[in-house]
Amino acid sequence: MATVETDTVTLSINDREVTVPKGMSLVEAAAEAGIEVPVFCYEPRLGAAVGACRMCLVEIEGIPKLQTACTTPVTDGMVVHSHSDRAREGQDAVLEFLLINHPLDCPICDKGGECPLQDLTFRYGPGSTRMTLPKRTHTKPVPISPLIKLDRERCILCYRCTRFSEDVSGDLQLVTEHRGANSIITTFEGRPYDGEFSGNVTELCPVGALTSISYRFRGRPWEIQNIPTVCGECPIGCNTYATIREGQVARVLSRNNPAVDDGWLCDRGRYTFPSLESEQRITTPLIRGGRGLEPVDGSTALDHIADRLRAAVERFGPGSVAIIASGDQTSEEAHLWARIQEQALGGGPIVCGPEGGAGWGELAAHSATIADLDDADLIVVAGATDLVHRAPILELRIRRAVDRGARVVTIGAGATRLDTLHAAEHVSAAPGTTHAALLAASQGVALKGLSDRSVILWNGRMSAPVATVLAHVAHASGCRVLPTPLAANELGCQAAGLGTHTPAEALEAVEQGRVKAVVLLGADPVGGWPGGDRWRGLMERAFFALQVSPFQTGSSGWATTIVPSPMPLEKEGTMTNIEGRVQRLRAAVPPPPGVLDGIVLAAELGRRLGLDMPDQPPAVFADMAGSRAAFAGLTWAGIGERGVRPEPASGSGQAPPAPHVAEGEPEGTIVVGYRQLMSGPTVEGAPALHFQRRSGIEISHDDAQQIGVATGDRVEVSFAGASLTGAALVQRRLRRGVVRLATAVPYVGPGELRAAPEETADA
Amino acid sequence: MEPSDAQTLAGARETRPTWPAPLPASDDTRPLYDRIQDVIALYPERKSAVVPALRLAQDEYGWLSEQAFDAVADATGFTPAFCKSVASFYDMFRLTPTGRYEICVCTNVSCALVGAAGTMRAFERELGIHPGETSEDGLFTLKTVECYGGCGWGPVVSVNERYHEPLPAEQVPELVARLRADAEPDA
Repeated sequence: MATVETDTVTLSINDREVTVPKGMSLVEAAAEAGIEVPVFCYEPRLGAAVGACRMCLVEIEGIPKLQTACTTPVTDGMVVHSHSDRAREGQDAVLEFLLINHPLDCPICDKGGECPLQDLTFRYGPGSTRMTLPKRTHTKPVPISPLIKLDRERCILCYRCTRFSEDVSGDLQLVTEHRGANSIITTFEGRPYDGEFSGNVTELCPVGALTSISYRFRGRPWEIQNIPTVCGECPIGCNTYATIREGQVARVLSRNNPAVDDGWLCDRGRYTFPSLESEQRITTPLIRGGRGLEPVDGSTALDHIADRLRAAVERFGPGSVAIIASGDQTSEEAHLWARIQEQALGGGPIVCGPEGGAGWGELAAHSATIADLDDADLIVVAGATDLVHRAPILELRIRRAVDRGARVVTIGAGATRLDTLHAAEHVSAAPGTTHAALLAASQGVALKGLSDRSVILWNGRMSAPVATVLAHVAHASGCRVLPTPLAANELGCQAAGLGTHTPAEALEAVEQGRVKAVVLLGADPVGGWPGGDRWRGLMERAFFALQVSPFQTGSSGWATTIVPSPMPLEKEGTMTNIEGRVQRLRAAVPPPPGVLDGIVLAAELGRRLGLDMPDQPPAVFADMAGSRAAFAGLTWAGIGERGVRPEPASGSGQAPPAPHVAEGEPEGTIVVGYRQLMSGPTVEGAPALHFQRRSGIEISHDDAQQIGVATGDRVEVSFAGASLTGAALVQRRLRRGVVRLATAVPYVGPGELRAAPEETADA
Repeated sequence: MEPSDAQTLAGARETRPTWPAPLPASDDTRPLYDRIQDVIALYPERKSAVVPALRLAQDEYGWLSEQAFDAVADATGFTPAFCKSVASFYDMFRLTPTGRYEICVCTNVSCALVGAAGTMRAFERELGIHPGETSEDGLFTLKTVECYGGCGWGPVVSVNERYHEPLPAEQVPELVARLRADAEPDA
């Protein structure tokens, strides 16, 4: 009989039989058998094992020398000893070598107490050193960016950090220089490590070599508490631990949820916690009186707001109050505010975020999960800007998918980081017509092979025409779509009823005189939304303008009443992320004195307006699950540590309407102003992050030659009635006619580009 | 000499081809960026082009300065940090400005056995500098390098990438004098 081909192999590790899948490494097989092999450099999330640290030496019968368990694949009948005398001797020797130059500064090292090297030294190694020569010294600590310091004496050259920089984030900024014993980890010529994911290397480092500056000398592992919560900075909702020491957030760590973040965190999520203490925070309710904004206590403010809202409805009729939300609220807060609008104020317009949320419903039946990117054979990323600004952590997942052989097609203006991926193909599209290009590509050869194993990532503003195209393409090909919302809980807010109108519809209602009072929930339409002047007009003329926000913003000057609100690290509640996963936020710290909890604020206001409202998060969640279809069947206790993703409503199965997209391409210069990742009030409150801001005006090679400028020269770009001057950044791969820059207010539309006149020296 | 003499070590020395042949002067005057694009086109993997691109940049700038790494990074699509990481691995790339003559002495085992240390000492004496230093007149830079693959004719020394082998200590003064004399007309 022929031998039966199987997908598993059976081997013996320390006399234990274990059957594991073919191709698995010995380290993993040992873990399956419940045997720990000591490791430093082994980290499966960094790609193929490299065997750099040599700590995982094991004895394999039939092989004369000890082998590294992380790089050795299992074979059938292998007999392995990880605790034999020879194996222990090898492991001990490696550890002794690693410690030859490692300083004995554990008592003052931030890693002390949570350090893999410290832990393994207790269990392996000779316990003392035979080294009598002085240890090697380096200048230390060296800042490799305003966020991270490097202590080269502590480094054991495991290459985890440089593998992250090269293979995971692809920024290739943290590298090894020189060779052998002279190798050092470094950035280029002292330039800062400027990548959105740089903070991950501090968590990867198995010793105290790479440490976050914000956590240096701040706490000890036995005097801190790690609160599991969810990042509220973008719609991915990466799972995090907030480390609390003496009632303050001392750092933020990733909490590996393979379905969401795979244990990575972007620097915005990791390093914006100092904004909790920002001077821009509002810490007391304020009512505008004769002498400007005057502080009042919470209940006075609530009485005043209830009184004014009631008066607005009495005087101008039901529906005369508009709620303008940022989409960063928890779903519970959103639900209560939506109830107030629906049940007490007569159902005026509610806007959720500057992009307004039209079209999401159409796509529910085709929605992809984040993990779908792992299995996808074709990933389409459509949008005019870098994905990192809207959904940072997804970039890492796409890079990994490419390493596994997935095709990536980008559709947009070009010159994005994903365009430089080895496997990337590019379809050039003028900004504003990306959805049309996507439709055309799906019918042509560019997206040949689009199937149920493909994912389309829509990296831009969602609108009805875009949704129609996405639904059509998904229906025709069977692929799934993953559009990126702008705000952290845009989808949850909408599902909780906070989001009934687009900004344009609301502005129309305002200008027809139907809206007389406005409630700003976290939103800053005057300072940060398209149509700022029109929003300002509403604020100026409003009978009552309430701002509920953690920070003073551009809209604060026109608010008649301001109520502070807590930030995500101070909130209990749930948020719904990009893929529809409902995840729990846990309050890591209480809000500052004088700041009412967001749920309590809404519930107390509701009660004053005659509504019966719960004010505890689980009760609000139950109330919401009972009345909002998107949350039906979910329970507070059922969300758990990893969140739940309710099955999206399946579509009718009928073909969606055929999309009609405008023919032809826009003429002239198109300006793309995008909201960059490192912007917004939380980043303002974390000055150490500011060096990561993108500046410069990206222009194409052809346009640069036409107006005669090179990178670094000043150019002037005018759009939307204003003009900006900045340094040009010539991008060889950017589409001709496109000018791209980070702006406070998102903008895509016509503009003009010219070389800036010579600067006249100011006296 | 008869080909059969090549069977002896002395014969092999006599008949061995001059290698590497002197580099033909490049008549390619296009910008470095364009020449690097040609190199990239030769390889299926862009990464493979980094070493030859660094060589072109070193010829262009004389040594691999910050500016040179920025130029290579721009042309290859990698970061300057990565390019320097590659360059710093290899002895043949110059990370600091060098004198007119870059003298590299192999100190690995085969050369060490036949007197590389003496050759190195002779250079130090003649030039008044230690390995890693450049003479004050800017003429000479002295370096140690790892194996040049010329183990049959040690001690191996290269001057501006041209092998001089074997170069025992007693021939060092003559070589240095010749190099000084060659440099004279320009000085």
